Amino acid sequence: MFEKINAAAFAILCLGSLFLSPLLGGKPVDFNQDIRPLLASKCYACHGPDEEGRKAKLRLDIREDALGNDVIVPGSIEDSEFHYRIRSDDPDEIMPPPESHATLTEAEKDLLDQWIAEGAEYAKHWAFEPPQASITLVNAAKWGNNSIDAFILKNLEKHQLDPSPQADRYTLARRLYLDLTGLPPTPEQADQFVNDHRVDAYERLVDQLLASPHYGEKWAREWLDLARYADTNGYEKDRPREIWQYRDWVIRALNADMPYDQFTIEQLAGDMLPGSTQDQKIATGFHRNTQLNEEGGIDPLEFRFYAAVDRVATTGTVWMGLTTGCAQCHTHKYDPITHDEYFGIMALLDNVEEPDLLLYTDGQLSRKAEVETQIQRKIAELMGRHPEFDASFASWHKNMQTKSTQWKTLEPTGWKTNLPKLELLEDGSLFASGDFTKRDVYDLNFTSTEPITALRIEALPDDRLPEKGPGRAYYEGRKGLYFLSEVNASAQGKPVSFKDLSQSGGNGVDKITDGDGSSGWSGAIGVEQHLVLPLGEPLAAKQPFSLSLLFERHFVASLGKFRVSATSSTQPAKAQRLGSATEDLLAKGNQLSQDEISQLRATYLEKAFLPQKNHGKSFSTAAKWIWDDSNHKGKETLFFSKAIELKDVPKSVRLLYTCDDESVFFINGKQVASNQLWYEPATANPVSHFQKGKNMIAVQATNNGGPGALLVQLEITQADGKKEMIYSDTSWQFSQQEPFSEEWKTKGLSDGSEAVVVGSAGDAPWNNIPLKSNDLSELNALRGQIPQSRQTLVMQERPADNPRPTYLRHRGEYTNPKHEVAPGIPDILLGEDTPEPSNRLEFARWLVSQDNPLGDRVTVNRAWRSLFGYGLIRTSGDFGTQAPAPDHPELLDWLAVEFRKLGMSMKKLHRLIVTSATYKQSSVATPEHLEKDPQNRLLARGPRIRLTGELIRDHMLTASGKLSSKMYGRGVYPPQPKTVLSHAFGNQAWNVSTGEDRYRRSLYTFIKRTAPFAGYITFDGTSGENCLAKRDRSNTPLQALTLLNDEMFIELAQAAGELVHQKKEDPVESLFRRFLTRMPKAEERKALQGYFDQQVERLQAGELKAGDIAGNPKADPQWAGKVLLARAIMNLDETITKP
Amino acid sequence: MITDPLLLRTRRHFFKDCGIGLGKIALASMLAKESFGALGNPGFMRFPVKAKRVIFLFMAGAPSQLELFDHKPKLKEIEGKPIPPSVIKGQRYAFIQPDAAVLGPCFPFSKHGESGAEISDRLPYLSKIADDLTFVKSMHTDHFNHAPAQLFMNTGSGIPGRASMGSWLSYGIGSEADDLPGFVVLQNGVLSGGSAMWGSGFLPSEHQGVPFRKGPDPILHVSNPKGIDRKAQRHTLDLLSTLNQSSLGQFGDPEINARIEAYEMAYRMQARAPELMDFSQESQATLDLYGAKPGQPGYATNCLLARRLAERGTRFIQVYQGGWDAHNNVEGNIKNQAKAIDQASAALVQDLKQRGMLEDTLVIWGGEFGRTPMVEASAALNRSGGRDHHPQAFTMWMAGGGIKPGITLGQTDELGFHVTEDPVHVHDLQATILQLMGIDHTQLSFRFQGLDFRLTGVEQHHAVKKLIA
Repeated sequence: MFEKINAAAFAILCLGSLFLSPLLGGKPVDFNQDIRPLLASKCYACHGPDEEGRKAKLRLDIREDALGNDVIVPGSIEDSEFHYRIRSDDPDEIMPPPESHATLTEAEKDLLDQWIAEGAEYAKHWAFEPPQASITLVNAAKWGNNSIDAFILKNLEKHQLDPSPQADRYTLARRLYLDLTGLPPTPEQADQFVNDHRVDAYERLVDQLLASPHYGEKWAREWLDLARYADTNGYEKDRPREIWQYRDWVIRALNADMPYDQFTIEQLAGDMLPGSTQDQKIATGFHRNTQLNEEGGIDPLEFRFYAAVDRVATTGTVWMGLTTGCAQCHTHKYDPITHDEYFGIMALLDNVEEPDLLLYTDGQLSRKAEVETQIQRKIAELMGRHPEFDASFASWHKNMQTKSTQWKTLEPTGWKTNLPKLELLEDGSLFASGDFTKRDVYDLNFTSTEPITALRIEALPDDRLPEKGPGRAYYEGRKGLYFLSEVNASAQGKPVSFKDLSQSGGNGVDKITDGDGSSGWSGAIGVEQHLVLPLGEPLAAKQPFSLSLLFERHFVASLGKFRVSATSSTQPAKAQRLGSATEDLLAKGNQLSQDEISQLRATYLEKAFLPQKNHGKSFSTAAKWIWDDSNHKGKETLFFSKAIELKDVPKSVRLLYTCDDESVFFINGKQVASNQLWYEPATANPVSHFQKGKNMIAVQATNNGGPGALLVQLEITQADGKKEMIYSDTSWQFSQQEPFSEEWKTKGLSDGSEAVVVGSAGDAPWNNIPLKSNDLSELNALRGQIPQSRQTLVMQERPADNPRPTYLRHRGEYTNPKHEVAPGIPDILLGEDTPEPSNRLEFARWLVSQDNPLGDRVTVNRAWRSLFGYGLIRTSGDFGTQAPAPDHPELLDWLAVEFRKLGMSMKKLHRLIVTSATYKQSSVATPEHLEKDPQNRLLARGPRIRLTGELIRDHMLTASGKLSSKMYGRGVYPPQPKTVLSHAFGNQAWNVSTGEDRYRRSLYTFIKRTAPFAGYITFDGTSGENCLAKRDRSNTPLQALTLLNDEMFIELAQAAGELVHQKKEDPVESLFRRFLTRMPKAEERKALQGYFDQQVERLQAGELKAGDIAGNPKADPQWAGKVLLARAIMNLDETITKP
Repeated sequence: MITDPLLLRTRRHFFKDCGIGLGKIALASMLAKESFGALGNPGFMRFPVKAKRVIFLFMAGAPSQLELFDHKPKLKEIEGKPIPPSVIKGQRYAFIQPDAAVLGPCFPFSKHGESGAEISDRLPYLSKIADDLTFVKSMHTDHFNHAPAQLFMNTGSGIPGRASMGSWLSYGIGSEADDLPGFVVLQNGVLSGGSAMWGSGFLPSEHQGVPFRKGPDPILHVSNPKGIDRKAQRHTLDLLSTLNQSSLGQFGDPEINARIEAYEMAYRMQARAPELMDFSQESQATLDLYGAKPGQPGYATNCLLARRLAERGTRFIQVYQGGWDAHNNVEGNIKNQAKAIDQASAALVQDLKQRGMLEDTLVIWGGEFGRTPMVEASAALNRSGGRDHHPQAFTMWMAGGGIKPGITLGQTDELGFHVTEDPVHVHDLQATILQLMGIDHTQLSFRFQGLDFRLTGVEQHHAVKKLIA
């Protein structure tokens, strides 16, 4: 007990004596080391750079100001007002004032006096001066491998400490493997190194590990902490996003040892590089990892601003080691960054569009061409299959020619909007970009050379729009959605009226002139749709008129691309559902080219001819629409179940079902079908999932609003050929509460209620649901084979004619914009003869140039922290004036200079550090160490650090032989308790991955911000909400419970136990070495063997069940004992620690 | 102001090892006595400790103050007419346009207790204990959307990823429990702010709230895996202790000692959790008081569980109740929601009182913002008779823990639109809560990304003296 108290007390004393000591024992003061930290923490809040907070017009951060009015008189304590103020007894006089709680100690007062007496010299904060490499070669021969060791040794000697001996070779192997690849060595790998007696065996191992693909995976995870990478959007809805291509880019770049300057520039401004490649664009995902609020009713630009704030803070932390965050609200109180300069940095970063980049691989493109050819062939084949097709087409064509309207594109003569930018494209359409609000207005002016009887507005898809448009919705609603609330036209100041409006698709055409912004016209995603607006009275030729489009929803839903056309035809114009291209062909009459005719024939076949053919068997009226309530209208998810008895395994089963709106269908716990659109029923033949006896049907059904209901028809053909029909009806059970366990899918709902019949098949509002013909299905199946593009979130510089102005926001509040601010970096960082960056690319280049005094220091410090557990400067993200002085300032600077000499190669930097004698020291802490340097700041011993949650899991996967080596791709879902997601918004499932995806490296685990993977977060993992420069290493009971009891780790203990059991290895030694690398010591062996024997005895006595413990009914007590032994070893402190 | 986590950790280890017992930090009482000895009093403990623990009944989705506590008969008079633009000025709304018509209160109000607090007829149980409650009718917040506003109330910031109130308390004054988490979250219904509301943000993650789960494991992994009994678990822990001790001897790393302690506490937690969840020790009278039915999860059960946690030393208990977001049919919403919370909320206060715990347990009730005096209706969203989000004014109530009972603080204008008297910003409320726990909110800070973060932000906010007994 006493020892511990002493250790704690010593920790404080030592901190004081080593690093904070004001007692300099006759040495002159050093402004940077001794004085600035004092002034910054005690005085600058009122007497620093921030004008708003400044008291008595006194600045103490600038020497000239501090010397004014005899506040400080260099060389004379007696003449300095400062001296009297800090020592006054009068509470009205004493500085800092008592209410600031920033009291100075006597020692600090002495130090300040000494500084004045010595001339009150100031110096630029060390971090704002470029790093200088000093040569330190003292005693180089005595100890050390490279210059790092010379710096460390010099410091150790100063404190009368000796370096520790080199760690043993098993420890070195384990340390190196864990540090460079994040995975432990196998016993064989460790032995190989231990038995390699070549002089350069260690360096060879280093090179081998640097070349391993696992190197990139290990270091990518650390970079992703900084990038605040996640696979969901965050905030309330926290829906999934596609940006894993960015994660994969980081792994590849690190494995390729991309120089750090290039690595930086591509992530910050890859899109602006000349001829930028797809990969360089993917890299810009770095700053798209900000969160997106999808809550209904938000002001989207407000949350865009928060993302911009995050980008400034993250850039500051990662590349400048500066905390710009303070200056968001006011001029920095400590560091010389003004409020304006903060927004100058934001202006550099914020002139961006934030699109989804569509990605096709070469393979996908050639596959696409292949399938399209097959589709052409299939169309020809289908035409041939129906002898009546030609005649049918001819009659249709004739008929349609008379019905079609000749439209002429109208190009606007001018336009204005509330905010979005409209651009006229060559085809006469308008493309909207820039910023959008939840109430956008497009005002367009036209003049037609001909009279107008009707207008047509086409909503058009485009690859540049979210999900290809036609709308601009990018949050809350479906991506790509549009919602046209109101259309108003006027000519000569008078309103132009419409009559007989029609729509080619979507719904709500009758709502666009009702004067209610909350109603309007909206349609499907990714396809063209149009509106036709016949005019009440025709407009005369050359009559200027204007058209005003209002988009008002509780989220952005403006049109991203659209075209306006007009007709002079006196025939009534109506919207045609075959699309404007077909309509234009029809309107051309018989003057068609061969290609045009083929096109028309194909369209007719697919859109009109086949859909009328061959209706498949539809629902019987015995099938009922069922739900929990016949009047239900709101959003809700229900759970249905129905048990059926079968005399035998059926011969065939035909499932036909649908649900308004979405559902998943299970037979005996296995998903057999799902359905997203009520008017497109799902079919399946799930015969293989049925069994003799009891079978359970289960459906999870969600209604998204409006009426909800489920309709099921199941035709079961028995072995004897008899048919049995199962319909949805009141014999089904439902529950509104999500069942606690998955068991309901196999056992049925335990507390279900009787389903309520809402109607029979064929009843309104659904009416009859026609099934598609089989011929059409063949064609659709082919279309389904066209590879879908992947997407990833990227940055894109805004066009020169539509820059985004950046405003200073008073107190950092979005609602409080003041003047516009030009892009630029803080003056303090601006070199005398280097041009100031004026855009994102120049800024990125500046960040990794030698003009940025902080960049290299921050980078090498981060590498140091990764390997030693603490940085050379302990506040990893902050090098500002408030940061404590570095533990090893000369080493930090030397490394920074050396890093540039090494071509900014991360691998070379890591190699340099891990080949130092400092790194290779034993991590045993002696009583002397604990007394003189409990925190190991002097590095008289090696690092001993608990692994991160991700690396702990990777470690267990490796040691139990389960690790999958598969790299890259979408996030995967290792097992975790279902209840982890129960606190997240919506009914999102964590569908546990099967096969090797269950055992992938942890960096591939899907990261859900509002429900991060429990096993990682318990060990201080990150949710990706903030840029994280260093992780905590807490030590908690919840970690113990996780390692002891988490299903995921139990499964791996079972795997490890089975492995050594099957291989007939000595369980104690084999398991020990798999998890700890080294050989067990005699007493450890004895303790482990004792435990094993004890458990086997209990197993044999039947007190414990071998099958349950081993997760395998075949397991015997020996086998299960090995599982328990593996589980115990997995819980050792040493297992989860880098030695 | 302590900013170095290492120093803090050292301080905690000091307490841990000072004979108070493993993990049993019991700082609150020590801090109250200011008996820090050689290590000194942490600078932020500057006030007498009046509350030792907090139970925050958080009404997620924002209850309509106009149907519950803030009686505005004027709204009935001008129902159907728009509010004058001079009142509305430049306010932003989530769904409605600012010229939407006024909606009168849906329920009658009457005065209760000696204090004469005006409460709607939807809350008969709370009405009976009106004199134990303290109403703040002048709450206002910075955010008008759920997720940011819920985060703001719970973490002092609208952006996810900041430290929550419970984690600040855990970080600052530790826990009194040595076999249960110090910061527990009980949830019923959907939350917009998500797990970020009980996250530890930049604070060490051991301070994050522990959400209790449905089903057999209220705390993740608190049950042994299949096949492993308590004896086998004990054997395992004994082995771990032996081997870890040997490691400690070899490496001299104090973290190993902390690991041994953590495993022992985990083992105790495994025994404590089932005992905590076992309501059979509660009398029928107590169950009836709350309206709780054993085995039936929900708000009443959560309130009773909150009291049981408070008894066992948990510092901060957050009870979340969703479902208040009445964009459509506010009348129906309040009928159902008020019924769901009225009895158990009142029972919690009464139960704490009869057990002598109310005096040092602070109970807080309220949501993230209020609701508009204007009606919400929308064709596209199929809504009518609702109220939109209203950050300018809303009502909360508190009880116990050093709060002056039986008073009402603050007033709103006759339309319930703006605060006219004693405005209380969310940061003021947070400052008040901290002060009741003895903490000066300006001094409890943590350095992250170079900023000294505080629960109450950088602007000037103050504990509300009028609320403190």
